[in-house]
Amino acid sequence: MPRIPHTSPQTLLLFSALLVDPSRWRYGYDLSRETGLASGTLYPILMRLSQQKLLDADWQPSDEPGRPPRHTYRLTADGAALARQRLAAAAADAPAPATRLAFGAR
Amino acid sequence: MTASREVASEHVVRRLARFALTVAVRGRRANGGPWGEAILAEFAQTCGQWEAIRWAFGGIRAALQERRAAHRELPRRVRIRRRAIRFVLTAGLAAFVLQQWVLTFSYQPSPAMAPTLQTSDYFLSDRIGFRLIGLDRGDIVVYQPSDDPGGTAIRRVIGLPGDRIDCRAGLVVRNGAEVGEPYLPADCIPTIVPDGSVYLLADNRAMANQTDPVVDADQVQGRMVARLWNGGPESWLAPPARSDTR
Repeated sequence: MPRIPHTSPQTLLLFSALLVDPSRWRYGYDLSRETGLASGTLYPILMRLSQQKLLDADWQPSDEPGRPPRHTYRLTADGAALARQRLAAAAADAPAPATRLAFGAR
Repeated sequence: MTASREVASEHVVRRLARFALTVAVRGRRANGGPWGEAILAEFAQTCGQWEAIRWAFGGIRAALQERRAAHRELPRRVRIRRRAIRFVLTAGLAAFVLQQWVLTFSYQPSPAMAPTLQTSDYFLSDRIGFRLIGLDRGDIVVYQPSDDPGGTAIRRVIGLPGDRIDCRAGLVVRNGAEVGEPYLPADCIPTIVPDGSVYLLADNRAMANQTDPVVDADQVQGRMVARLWNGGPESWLAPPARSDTR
């Protein structure tokens, strides 16, 4: 049976972080801090989501002068719908959501 | 101005992490892919050395993944050419390492080991195995003679440490017993092989017995494992003839 895409604990963590305020543009570093995902895990997920048009990516000038522009992200409408669906499915699947969340957040 | 001063005052660990990440993202180009550049731009947000290292380490993995994906997008012809170049470079390096330290392909320029090895023979010698399992009597070894730094010579191991070597009527006598080797006559000074040394003689004794047969074991560089073929004087493979008869 093929694996269902976008169901890994890491992707779900990223979905919940992005769904806090879906219209806000988010920075990669802040997402990494919030989800606890290392850059080597976070960015491949962002790349995959962006390639499948589930995520918008844009360059925005940095708030601090003299710094290079920063890459920002937010879910597209499709992405947000998929993220909600996946998170709901994961919550329904897990017999003990508390332990699952604790495991994922480590 | 501010930015450059900040970079200059950065901790050395952070500077190294930033450098490694920049190389992984950009390589020799001025700009890397958008995702690699994004990770590089976020590097400035990290605080302290450990976070910088962690960010750079993960960033390198992500940047390499981006580069691999970009590589898959290249035309087939370019990918095949790059793979061919990589293969040739790797094979060349492997051949060099092998020839230099593992299994050496050499040329015998003199008749010193005739009839076992003829002039212009090519042979293979093992450079590691004999160090692990030791030398034995009768082995043919390549060594570096004391009177010819940088040069090599090839001889047969006659005696190991503690062996008493003597010559009687042109035959080599080891520990009182004649060494039954049908080579050309030998003439030698009675010797007990000291510790850490080996006693070496050429098979073609008339040609090559002018050197001291007691050689420090450290001077042995390899043990012959196979004679390959004869290059012959007319062979294009044969280097110019050498005048010495080692």
